Amino acid sequence: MKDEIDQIILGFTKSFKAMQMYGMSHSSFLHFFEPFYQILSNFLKEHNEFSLEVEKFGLIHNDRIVYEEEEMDMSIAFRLFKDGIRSIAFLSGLTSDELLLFIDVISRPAREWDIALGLWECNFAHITFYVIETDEVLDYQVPEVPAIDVDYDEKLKQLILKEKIDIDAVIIPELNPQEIENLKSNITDEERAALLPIVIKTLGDYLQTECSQEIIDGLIEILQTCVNVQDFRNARRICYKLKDYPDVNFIERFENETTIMSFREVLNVPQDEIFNEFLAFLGFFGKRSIPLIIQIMPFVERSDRLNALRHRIAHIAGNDVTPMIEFLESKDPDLLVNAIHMIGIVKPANTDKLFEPFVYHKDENVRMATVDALAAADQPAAIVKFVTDPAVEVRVRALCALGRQKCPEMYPVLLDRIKQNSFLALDFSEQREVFNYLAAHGDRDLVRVMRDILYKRKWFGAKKYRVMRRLAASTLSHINTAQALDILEKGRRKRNRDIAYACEAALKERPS
Amino acid sequence: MNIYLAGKTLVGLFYPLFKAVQVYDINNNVVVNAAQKFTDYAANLFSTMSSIEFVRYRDYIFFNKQRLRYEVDGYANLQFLNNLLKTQRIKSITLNRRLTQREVIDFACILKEDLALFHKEVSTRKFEHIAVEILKPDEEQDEFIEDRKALKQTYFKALKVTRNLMQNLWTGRQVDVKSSRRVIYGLVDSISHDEFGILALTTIKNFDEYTFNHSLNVSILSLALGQRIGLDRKNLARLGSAGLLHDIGKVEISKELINKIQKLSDTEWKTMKLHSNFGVREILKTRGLDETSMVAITVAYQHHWNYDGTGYPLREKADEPTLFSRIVRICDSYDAMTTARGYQPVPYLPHFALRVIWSNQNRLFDPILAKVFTQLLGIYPVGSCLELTTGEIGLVMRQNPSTIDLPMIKVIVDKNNNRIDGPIVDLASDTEMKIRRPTYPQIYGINAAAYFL
Repeated sequence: MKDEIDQIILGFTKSFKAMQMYGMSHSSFLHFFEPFYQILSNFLKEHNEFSLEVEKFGLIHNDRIVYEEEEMDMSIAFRLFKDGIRSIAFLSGLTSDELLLFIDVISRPAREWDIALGLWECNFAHITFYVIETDEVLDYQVPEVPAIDVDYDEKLKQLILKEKIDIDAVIIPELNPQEIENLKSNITDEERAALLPIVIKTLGDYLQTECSQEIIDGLIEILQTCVNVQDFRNARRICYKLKDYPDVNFIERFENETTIMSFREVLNVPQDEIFNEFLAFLGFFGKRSIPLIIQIMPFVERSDRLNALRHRIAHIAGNDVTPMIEFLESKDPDLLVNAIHMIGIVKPANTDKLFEPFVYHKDENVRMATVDALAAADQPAAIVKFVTDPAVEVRVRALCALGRQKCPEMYPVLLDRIKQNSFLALDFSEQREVFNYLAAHGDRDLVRVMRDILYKRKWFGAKKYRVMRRLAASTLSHINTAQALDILEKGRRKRNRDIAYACEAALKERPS
Repeated sequence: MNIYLAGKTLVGLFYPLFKAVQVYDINNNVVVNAAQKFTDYAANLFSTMSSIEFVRYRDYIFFNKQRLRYEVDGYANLQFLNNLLKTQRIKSITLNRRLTQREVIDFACILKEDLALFHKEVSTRKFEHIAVEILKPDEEQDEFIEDRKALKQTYFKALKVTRNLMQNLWTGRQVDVKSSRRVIYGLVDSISHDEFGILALTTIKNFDEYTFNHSLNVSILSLALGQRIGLDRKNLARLGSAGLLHDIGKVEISKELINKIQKLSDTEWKTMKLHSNFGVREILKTRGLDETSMVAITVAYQHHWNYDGTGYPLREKADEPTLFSRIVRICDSYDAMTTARGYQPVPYLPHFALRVIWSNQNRLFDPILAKVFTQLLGIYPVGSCLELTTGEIGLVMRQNPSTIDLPMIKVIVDKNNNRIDGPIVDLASDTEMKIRRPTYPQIYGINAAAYFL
């Protein structure tokens, strides 16, 4: 047994030194630690417990000094002793993780580090230790009870009357199973309950009775912690509490490049809830932070999130597009596109003027963004310029936007265009948007035109006629008047299978 | 494997076995199944430990040197075992590897016999894998000759730290947070080792320095209640800290007002009630915002919130006090009632204060916690002074976990009203002594706290 104890102490000492030199993840440490754990757990299996008394420079097991080291920094015994630890016991069932943590705690270098506190906070299940407070002589005097001249029995009667209780009532404090269950779930709830919302509420409630700088500072400190750990839900809760204090600029500290750049991590988190909380928190930021937020927008991967972020920034901007305008000069198309979108959402009066330079911008993404922004800003007249854009996607986008806006001046132009042979050469998506536009702006005369296309191969030869016939039928269904529907109903019964099919399909897609 | 849980489980498995052998024949399935479960679990434990030992010491049960705490969950099982060992005067039972089912059943059978027969059976029968140690006559009294040095050191160190903390706050000096953290862990350890011992020290009250002793007593009472309901060490440390700091807001209120003997005016009362708010501020200032201080902040703010939604500071209807605040609410009230102060020179008797809490469950106090608190302190809490049917006066030294209305007392005044250093008597054992009524120790010129130092 003596040999076994000596082996344990040797393993302990080597593991301690290796931890100090290499740290817990280094292979050199594990080289000593693993056999130490093995020999100690074997001992515990046999003897249930391995205990050590701690002296200033030595460790004692069963009245035998098993370890001595007088060099303070090196001495395990002294480290434990100085913080009041007087005995340590390892119990059977000890896990490797527990022992590892134990070695870690006792070998930390900082002079301010209190090993007893460190061990306490580990909450070990299989390591116990006994700590004494300093050996200073404390005052064990019992305070005097002041002598008063009073009839105690009479006083007791008065108290019973005052409290209005039955002093002889039978007390049976047994808990029934339901009460025990309730208590257990109460404890579980308490353990699971997040502390922050409760403390935020408490501090917020306090502020309702008194505007205390300490409380505000406390909330701001929590806010800082929340932002650091990207807990935007609680950050938002705090902001709601603080927003009623106009003199308190609680958000200013976050309106800097470092903090805002750190938000990149949250832009693509898998959980929508976290992103949405972030957006809500961002709502408290001021205009000055907009340029910085725009810088992180290109990192957003999902289009729905990008769109939501644009709207949030537009909301921050209010009616003022100044923070975005500088980005209209940007050479970076991503930044430029985002700036254009956000200006579109803000809808300043001079949107068309601001976007004029982009009609001929070399990047078609920029031109498309401009169309979208003009559409968002209700500027159809400015969109018209994009109907002749060299890129089909831009034209389609422009036609699509115009189809949704009131812009009748394009009607005769486009009605004429569908009669051109060149129209047949256009991409189908563009053809469809032209017809959609016509359907949205058309009059009685359009019904006649569409009927002619449907039945008479007017203006076109056989080539691509089937496509035109179907677009015409679709347009009639979108026009959706009695006259248009009558044409489609009749067409459905035609013997010509192509007409019948086109009309049938159009009636199915008819708006309800 | 967690030793503590293993011990609790094994005690829980022994209880149905013992009940079964009282009712059924030893070959009955109920007995056999109960014994099977017990031995199976023990065999599982023997894979990591060489022996299993239950020791009874001062009404505490130790399982392989770990104290099994009285908790709401499993309370009856532990109380039963304690009673059984006490009745049969057993100091310890050791189970060894290769324990058989038959041995377990036979042992349970002889445990149900009366004391003499049990002792005879133990000495004559040979249990190969069960060893029983019987309490020697001289060891009985030793149970009460306790070495309270460590507990006293912990208590008075905690008191010193509490006093320094508050005085430093009063004078705007730096606060030693590390010391208070150490103090709390020391108290958690004390509660876990000997809750009745440290609870006895809460009888120490201080008329002149009410707030310091009161804060510490509330912390200890809260820890004991928290342990009884089964909080883990981490949460106990938070709760203890919250108890210690619950009244810290009073440092912002003038000492004149705090110590005022006369009835407070409406304005003064309004100011006094602000201590819940001020507490939040003080904790923020001194402790910052770690998890422990967040709990303390909440408790400081809510410790005058009543169970029925009343109390102060004003709150919305939906706001409920946290479990910790409800615990501190009870302990704060109990200690405040039982302490003499300027405006309350005659304190409530401990048993009376307990009845006030009992009667106000559902209104002021959480009813379940009020019950557990009563279980914890007993009908006659430690420090109570009792008039006995023999004409003597006894002081409650310790609660009897199994019989909460029959504590252990020390006879301190004889029939002729002379102060004596009388014996310690367990009122739960067969004795002529019965409780006539609780009384004020002041009548006999006694300072109850002195008996616990």
